Amino acid sequence: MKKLILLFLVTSCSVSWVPTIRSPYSLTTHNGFIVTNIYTNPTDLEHKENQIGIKYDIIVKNIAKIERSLDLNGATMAFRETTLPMTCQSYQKEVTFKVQPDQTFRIQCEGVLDRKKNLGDTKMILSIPLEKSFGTFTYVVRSEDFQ
Amino acid sequence: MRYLLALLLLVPGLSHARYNQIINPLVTGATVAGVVVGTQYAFYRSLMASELEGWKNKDTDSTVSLESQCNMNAEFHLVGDHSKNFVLVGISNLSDKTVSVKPSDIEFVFNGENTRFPGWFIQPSDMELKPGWWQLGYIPFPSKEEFAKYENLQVKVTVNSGDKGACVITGTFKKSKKILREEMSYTVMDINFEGGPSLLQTGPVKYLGKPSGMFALGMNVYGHPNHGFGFTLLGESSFEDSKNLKIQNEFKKGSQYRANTTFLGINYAYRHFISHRVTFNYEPALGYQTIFDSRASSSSDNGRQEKASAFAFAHKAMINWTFARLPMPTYRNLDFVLGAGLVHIWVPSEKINGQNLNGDRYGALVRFGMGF
Repeated sequence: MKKLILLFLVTSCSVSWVPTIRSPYSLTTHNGFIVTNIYTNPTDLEHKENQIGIKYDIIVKNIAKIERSLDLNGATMAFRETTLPMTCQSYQKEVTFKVQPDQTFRIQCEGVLDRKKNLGDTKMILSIPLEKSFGTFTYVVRSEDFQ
Repeated sequence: MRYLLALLLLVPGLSHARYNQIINPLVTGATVAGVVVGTQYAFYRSLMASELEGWKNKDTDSTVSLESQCNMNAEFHLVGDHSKNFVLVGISNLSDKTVSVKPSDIEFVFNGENTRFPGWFIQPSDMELKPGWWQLGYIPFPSKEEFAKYENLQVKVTVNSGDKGACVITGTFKKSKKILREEMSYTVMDINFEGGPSLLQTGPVKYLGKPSGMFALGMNVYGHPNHGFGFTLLGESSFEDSKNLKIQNEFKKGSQYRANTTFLGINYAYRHFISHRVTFNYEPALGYQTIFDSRASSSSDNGRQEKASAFAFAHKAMINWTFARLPMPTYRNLDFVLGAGLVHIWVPSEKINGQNLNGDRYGALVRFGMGF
């Protein structure tokens, strides 16, 4: 019986979980594009052996009345004095592509942090190129993520 | 389950939101504090995993409809669970005026001609959007089954901005493929009671004769519309020829041994939808069968020697008909089911006092079930 109670207590403690909202909801307009980040997983990080993987997922609609050209090279994540690159591509795996007026498309980005360097609680700015401008989003990593 | 979870998560926000806002959960980014916003927001985002596959756009692998109308940004998504479909709406006020949205004015237009109103369980309250604010909420469709008839859908949200009057934001969707589970309500947990006559015995177990009847109790949990698991409790009472058993001479007072069986097993549950209300169910179970004496108290050893347990396999094939569907709060249904089918029990090896009792037994069952 004692073992059962102990097992119950250990299990209860180990499954306690507080969700962290890493990136606030955003439904905005950037440079003639409507952008939503609702598909970005609000809580999950990818923990690799020495890295933390960050994924960002946005849906974009071209509301300008002209064809637009996108080049997703140059996406970054910035915090304090540091700027790190992110790799972005469309859902069709294209990095450079054209979008028609009223076309809706999806952009998925990935970046990594060094897990050995604990940054503490950090608010990063993710910048994703949207033609001549950048869509910017905040993203939070916490001290616990590096453990 | 997700909607129930949302309800639970919203409870701490009672001081910030009126009760009817809980039933119509609309999250105001700037008004509801701390963890309540966080958990509700995570909940809404988690709904994206429940998007309707049949309405997804292949370019984005999503149902999203992004709109810029009435000086607002809006996004619409179609999501659903086992009992209801919903439209998830996000609105962001880009204007410099406070606007209001009356959820009761929201309309759905199907196939360009049929207008339907939301299937609110409780009248939702109006909501206000100050400049720069956003709102997220989900709106229930009146009937999930109606989706079978729809090829395209418009969601019309009326925004009132005082002196400028009303403006309608429209989100549009187009069906890309038909997926049955997105056009029908089904249960995720069933409890079934069954009873019926024994039909046939083959093998040495025939020695016991026919039992007077069979009964069963089962519970299934479905993680998928077609697949689930559960447990089966199955019994047969008073085998008529139990007196043939060699153990009869161990009884005192002239009482006769009267064999009964119970089977307890874990089962897989397969459910095939023949129509929205009729299913074929197949439930194979592995477990243990026990043969015991219903008059054990009159045996010399209180029935201990006459009791035997052995591995057994039992499976049921049933046709079920959902004859009643009772709408419940939080957009759930309570289904009542009648069914009929056959059961087969196979016991490879079982003995009592050297008497071999293995073999196959068959029966017919009538089912009454409840599920939600």
